[in-house]
Amino acid sequence: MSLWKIAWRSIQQRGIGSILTILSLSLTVMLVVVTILAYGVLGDYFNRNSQLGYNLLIGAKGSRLQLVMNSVYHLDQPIENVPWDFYEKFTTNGDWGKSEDIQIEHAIPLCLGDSYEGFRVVGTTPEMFDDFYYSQDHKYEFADGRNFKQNHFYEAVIGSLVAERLGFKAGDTFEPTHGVSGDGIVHDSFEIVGILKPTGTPNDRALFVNMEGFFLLEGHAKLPEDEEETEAADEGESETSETEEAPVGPEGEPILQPNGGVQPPPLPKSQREVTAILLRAPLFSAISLQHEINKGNVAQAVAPMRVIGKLMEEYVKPMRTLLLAMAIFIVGVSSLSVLIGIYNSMAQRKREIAIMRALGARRDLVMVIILCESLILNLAGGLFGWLLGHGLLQAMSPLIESYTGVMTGFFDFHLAELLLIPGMILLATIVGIIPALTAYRTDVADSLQTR
Amino acid sequence: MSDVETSSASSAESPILTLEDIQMSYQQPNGNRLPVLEIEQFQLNPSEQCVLIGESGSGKTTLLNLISGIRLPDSGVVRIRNLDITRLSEAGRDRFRADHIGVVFQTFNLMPGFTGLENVLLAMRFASGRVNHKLAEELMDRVGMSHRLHHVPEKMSVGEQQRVAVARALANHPSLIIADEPTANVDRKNQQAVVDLIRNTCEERSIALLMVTHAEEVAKQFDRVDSLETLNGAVKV
Repeated sequence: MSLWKIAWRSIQQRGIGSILTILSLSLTVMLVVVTILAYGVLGDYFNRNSQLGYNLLIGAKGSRLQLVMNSVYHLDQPIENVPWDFYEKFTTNGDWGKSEDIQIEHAIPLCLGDSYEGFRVVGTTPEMFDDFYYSQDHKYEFADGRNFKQNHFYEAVIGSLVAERLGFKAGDTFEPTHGVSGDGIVHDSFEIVGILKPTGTPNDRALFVNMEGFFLLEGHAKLPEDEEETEAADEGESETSETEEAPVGPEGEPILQPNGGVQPPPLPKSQREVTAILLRAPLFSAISLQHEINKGNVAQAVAPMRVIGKLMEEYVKPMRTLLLAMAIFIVGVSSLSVLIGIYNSMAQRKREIAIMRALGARRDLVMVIILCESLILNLAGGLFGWLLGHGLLQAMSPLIESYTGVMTGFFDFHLAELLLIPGMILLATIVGIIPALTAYRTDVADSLQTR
Repeated sequence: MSDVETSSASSAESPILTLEDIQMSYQQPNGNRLPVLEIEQFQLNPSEQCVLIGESGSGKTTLLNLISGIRLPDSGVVRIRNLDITRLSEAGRDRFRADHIGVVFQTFNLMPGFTGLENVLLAMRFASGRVNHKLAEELMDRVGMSHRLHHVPEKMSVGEQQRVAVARALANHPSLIIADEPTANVDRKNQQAVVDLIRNTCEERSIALLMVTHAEEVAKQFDRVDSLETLNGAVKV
């Protein structure tokens, strides 16, 4: 008969007490596991997106963090826009686009500020999904349908999570709401022509519409600020209306909107603005451009990875440390209650211990048996708690995914969880040592006489 | 050299148990010491069966604790199988007790939560020898408990519990069994059965038996009856 079996029998003997101890430990471990996993999810969320498909993020002057939160994570309040002509500097015919000193691989405009059912609506160009990258060098792929076409202004592509949550499929339509609060005016509808495969980035939680359609939505055209500008705008508009007409189909037929109406001509360039530009360029060019842009007073260029790094350092790390501190505190409090539980049971067990001693069990052997008991209780509590913690993670998976875009599951594992094993053994030893010492000191003759 | 080692010079004639010049007292709250045992000489031969009678407070349990090595005397010798166990360390006495002495308690003292068979195995576990399932089952069979191997004490009658306690006392082939009023908690119907069981199993296995009782009907069945009042000088008659 092994010492483990003796310890196990003793645990069985105190049925309810043992179950309550294990339950108390499981809840503790569950909280610790959830905290560790939350720690992991938080880290994953920001780390995963620190590997971007671009190295420069350009937007209106102001908070760098807000620019990153808006453009990379689709979070936070909307930011100011930059003029269209500024964006055009990055295109093939623009100042920087045709410069021989600066090489630009891709410059993708983003227009932000609308939403649909809590998800952000982003206006962009088809290049975003045809040529651009996410997470360093991954190309976007479609689970269903195709990319939207340049000339079809009211087409859209949606992220995998949006499709899953809202039950959208290619061919469905949706009507964005002005603003991110969800209570703004309802815009014209867009047809979903493609559903992206999961990328594990915040883009899974966004709806991407053709920027040309986005410009044409109510309230999106830039209003002239004074007469001079109005005149210039008028000139521009007349100029535009001369050169840019509503695109037509292959046989000259008009392109229809999802609501049945004929697609209007594109918005004059003078009335256009973009919120951000994602720029992919060789390192040297990116550094030069960043310096150049930040010298001016129109926009700011930030290296998003540096901002994300700073975000990690200033916000995420302290939050993770706080979570970890909470976990340690929880373990401390719970250990104390387990210690009290086992210690209190010792008073009732003096006779059992005395019997074992009378049968010839040495003091140190009895002590080891009590430590074995503590170890079994702790490991059982640990295992059960681990299962509960991961079960909880599985149950909360949809919620976590919708908030962070990080997909979680029962078998998600964080390396810190490995610390639970030596941790529980250490805990078992600590909470078991005092009762074990009590057992060690039990007076056999006296304890056998009391009944 | 192990302090548990017994003398190789032990012979068939040597007493299995010898008490010499035992003095034992307890510290009182006022600081004085209260003598509880003063035994000049006591011997028990191999296979001999002896009953010790005495009233409450005559030091019966203290004496048995002394013989089993649970307590130490203030002075004197407790020699079992030619080894003075008072010279052993506490761990040595524990091991010696497990290997050579079987104890049957008045209140059975079976381990709750352990089945009858496991109680026997537990005694084997604490001794030097190996845990022997077959032997444990044989012992349970010998005490008439083969049908209750896997029942916990709470599910047994008091008579059955005492039978298991006897089987447990026999687990490690002891040279000596000490029984502390083994019939005191057993109903009249089972008293004789318990006494017979203890005496017969000891006789079969040539084990010396020292039984303490205050029941005259039990005492009169033994050839050797010693009175603690006579033996123990500390008892003021």
